[in-house]
Order: sequence, then C-alpha cells, then structure tokens
Amino acid sequence: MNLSEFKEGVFIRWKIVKANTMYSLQESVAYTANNWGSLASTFIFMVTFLIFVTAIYGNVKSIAGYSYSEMLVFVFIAQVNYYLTWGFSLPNVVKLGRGVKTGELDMYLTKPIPHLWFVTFRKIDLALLFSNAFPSLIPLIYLLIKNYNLQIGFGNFILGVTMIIFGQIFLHCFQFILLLGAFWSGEARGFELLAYQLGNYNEPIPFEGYPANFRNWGFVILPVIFHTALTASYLLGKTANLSLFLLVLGATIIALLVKNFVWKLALRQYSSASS
Amino acid sequence: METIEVTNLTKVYKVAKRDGGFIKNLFIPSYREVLAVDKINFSIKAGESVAFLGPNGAGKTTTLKMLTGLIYPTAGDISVLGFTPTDRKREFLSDIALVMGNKNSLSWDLTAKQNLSLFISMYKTSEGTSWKIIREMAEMLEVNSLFDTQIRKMSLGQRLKFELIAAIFHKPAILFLDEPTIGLDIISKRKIRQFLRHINETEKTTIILTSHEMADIERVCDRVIVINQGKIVFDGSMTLLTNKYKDKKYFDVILKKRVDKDKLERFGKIVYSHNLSYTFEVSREKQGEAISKIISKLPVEDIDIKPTPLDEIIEDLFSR
Repeated sequence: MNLSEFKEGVFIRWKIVKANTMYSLQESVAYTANNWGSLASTFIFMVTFLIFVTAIYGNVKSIAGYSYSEMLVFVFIAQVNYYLTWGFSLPNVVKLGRGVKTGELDMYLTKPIPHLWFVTFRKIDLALLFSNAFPSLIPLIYLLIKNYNLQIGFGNFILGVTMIIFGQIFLHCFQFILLLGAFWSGEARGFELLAYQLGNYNEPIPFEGYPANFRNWGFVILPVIFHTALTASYLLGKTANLSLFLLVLGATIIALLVKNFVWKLALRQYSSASS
Repeated sequence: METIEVTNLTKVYKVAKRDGGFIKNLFIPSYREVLAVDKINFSIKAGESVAFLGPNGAGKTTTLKMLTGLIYPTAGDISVLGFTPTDRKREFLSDIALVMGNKNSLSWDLTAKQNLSLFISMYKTSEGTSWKIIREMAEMLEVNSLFDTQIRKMSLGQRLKFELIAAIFHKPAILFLDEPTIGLDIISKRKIRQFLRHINETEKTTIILTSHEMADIERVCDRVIVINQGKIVFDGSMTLLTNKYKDKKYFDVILKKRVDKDKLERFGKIVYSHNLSYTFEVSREKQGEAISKIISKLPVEDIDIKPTPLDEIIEDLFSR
C-alpha cells in the first residue's frame, strides 16, 4: 500500500464515520416519543439502583474494600460503559446479524467501502448518549459530588480511561465475533441475547470482589470484567499491577486481529438470503 | 470488448437436512448438497442488455450474486471488468451497481435526501455532481417532489425508484437488477423500463437483469440467457429466440355474436376464449388460408395477428 492509497483509505473511513454519525442521529430523532420512553426506562433504573446502593451502605462501611463514594465511582464507570456499549457496539452487531438473515447486507457488500469498517461503525448513536445517558446520570453525579472524598491521581486517571477504551474495543470484538455466527447458522437471535447479556454484565462486582485466584489466573481478560471492574480498580489506585495492563493490551490487540480474521472467513461462508 | 466472462461457473449449496430426529438435528445437523449452477459459460460485451430467465430456483439469482461478488463460486472462473468479483476491490465496486426488487438499502426512518447523502459519501464523485445527476434522474422517474419524504411514507414504486437512483447516480459501467419491478403497478413498471432502456442507450450501461416479467425483458433487453436447473438452455438475441418459434402465429379474434365452439375449432386450435374473444393458434404456412376463412365465414368484429408470446416460448424452454 503506497502513501496515497493509505491517505485515501483513511479519508473514506473518516467520511463513513461522519456520514454514519449524522445518519444515526437523524434515525434516532425521527421518533421523539420513543426517545422519551427510553429515557424514562434508564432514569428509573438509575434511581432504583442508587437507592439500593445507598440502602446497603447505610448498614456497612465497605463492600470488597470499596467505600460508598468509591462504589459511586464504580457505578459511574459501569454506567458510562453501559451507554457506550448500547450506543455503539450493540446496535452494530445486532444490525449485522439481522442484515445477514434478511440479506440486507447484500446492499452494502456491493458498495465501494471498507466493509468491516462500515458494519463496525454503521450506527453511532450520539442521540442515546445525549438524550438518555446525561439526564439519567444526573442523580448519580449529584450523589458523587455530595459524597466525594477521593484523591484520584493523573496517572490513575489516564490508566482508567485507557482501560475503558480497551474494554470497549475488547467487548465489541467479542460481541461482533459472536454475531458472525449468523453467517454460518443464518440466524442470530441466540447470539444477540448473549451479546446483550455480556453488554449488561458490568454492575455487580468490583474487581477486588472476585476471588484472588480468579484475578491472578488471567480471568481478568473476560470482556465483562475488565471494562468496568479493572477500570475502577486502576482509577481508584487499588491496582498498580502493570502486568495486568499489558495482559489487557495484548488481549485487545488479539481480539482485533481475530475479529478481522473471522470476518474474512464469514464472508467466504456468506450465502446471501434468497430474494 | 468482453465486460463479463464466465467459465465453467458452478455453485453448490449445503442445505441442512431435517431427517435425523430432533436431538440429532439440534446438535449434529447433517447436510445435503444442492447444485444451483452447473458449469455455465457465457460472456457479455460492454453496453449489452442481457436478461437471465428461468423458473424459481433455476440458478439465475445465484449467478447474479456470484457476478457481483456476494457469494463465492464452488468452481469455475468469473471476470467482471477484469476483476475477480469476490476480491471486492474498490475500483470494481465503484463501477457496478446492484438493485434487488425485494431488498432495501434505504433506511425507512430517513428521508430520501438523507439516505442519498449517505450513499454519496461512499463514492468519489463530488457532492455537487452527484446531486445534479440525482435530480435529473428523479425528474425522469417523476419522484423529484419526494426528496424530503420519509422512505416509509412512500409507495412501493416510489421507494424502488429511489433505490434505483441510490444505486446508479455514480454512473456504473454495469447495472445488475434482480426482479426490479416486482410488485409494482403498471405505470411504475413502464417508467422504470423506459428509464433502464434510456441509461442503456445513452450511458452505454451494461444491464444484467433477472425477472419473471416478460415485458421487463422485452422492453429492456436485447439478449436472453435462459437458465433451467442450473444449466443454460438458450443464449441468444431476443430476435433469435422469437424466430425459433416463428412456425406458429396467433390470431386474436373478437366476434360480433356467439358461434358454436365445434364450428370455431375448424379454423385452428383455440388457446384462449372469453365471452366473444378467442385466440387461435395456427401454423405459419397455413396463416393466409386461415385468416381468409375466418374473415369470410365468421362474424368478425376485429382481428389481430401476433407472433408466439414470449411467455409461451419461455414456458416451452423451461419444460425441456
């Protein structure tokens, strides 16, 4: 690949992300009543969950070594991950699975675009982030400010943010590879449910709550664990272990390579639903 | 110059068998092989307009999907515009377009304009040039007042016209169409056929079309490839196809009053009758004699002589 091809590749990818972001935004705001419905659902969940956490901390001072304010930070990270997954990874993998089943994917595979990039970034739901995430996070942010008594160092902050990014990429690759099963089976509903389950599993247990052996044996690279539990642990300075960081970095790179490889295999398998 | 060259193209699908019992099917499914396309060979020149014809399951859509690179052939070679379609090279995909009558590429929740903006971003053509071409096409297809309408609020015909515009505004060298007029009303069908003919003649776009609508084929295509059970049973011009069946003529006759069927059958084989309208099938060498007898001995209101209808030719080819 020469420099001009590289530049062209970057340019078309940028154009796709820009166009898909706009396209997703327009799609999401096409039905305003629906947006109010989903905002109510996330707001109710947030309030009830905070009542639950506050009630527990009314009786104990710490859970798995996490004080009330640390637990609020953990819940905040879990929520950020939840919205990132719902706004980016899940809609794309679900669309992909359904596109394979209906044959809708045909219409994109015949366009002159980088196809893996396109199906990865087909839906970038900024509307969800603005209309659902921010309002429903307000009660949590209020409690965080009211009870804040933590010192988070700059290094820990950077490690935490990096972990979120790696975690999102890793979880997305995992969900994406799962949904690629549709290319072989022709149906993706079962894989979809599993992808949803993985996307939702980020609230219950802080990293330090897992058994020590479990943490040391590398189970941390399960996608559902490191994007929230390990992020919170690094951010709050409870983990300073760089070998875990390297493990996560390696796992993320491998996940990207596997995603690319399985995608190529899946395209060879594609039978295109009959018309 | 050959735009498409196909040699010994074969496609075998693996289809799950449901004969091993519930538990076995659930965990260890077994498969049977279905031969969809069987060692076919053909080539298509730039600017040609070709129809793939065949009964359901004949292999025509599978062939189309292999030509566009959507599915991999089991065996054989394909060259389209000098590319192997399954390589999905950007240069190749920039020069083809695919429209499927029963698949949507446009989002239902967006307006036509919003949808088209996304498609414009996929091609190298400048935004200004693309919109100019889009507006011209929309005018020809009479949907220029619908740019700001949501796709889901459009009729099937209007939607399909925008699908067509979204597929070809970048002026591809080859346009693949899979049943483009399925489910449309007569006016929309006619408009789309005229449009396809127009771009074939003016832009020299190569058109490859599959359809069960004989009128689509007659109006849009010059050449027909008939596929049955995965094999090519006819490949030639529309004229050659109809000439092969020149030995028969059809007389559409409208009578002034009712005549006994026994008496009518003396003039030729009746292939259709409704009220006072009859269609007679007569061999070509006897057509002169038959027509003079019909006019002199029957109370004829109107008479029309036709060649063998394309439907009947195709039906005959399918049954071979």
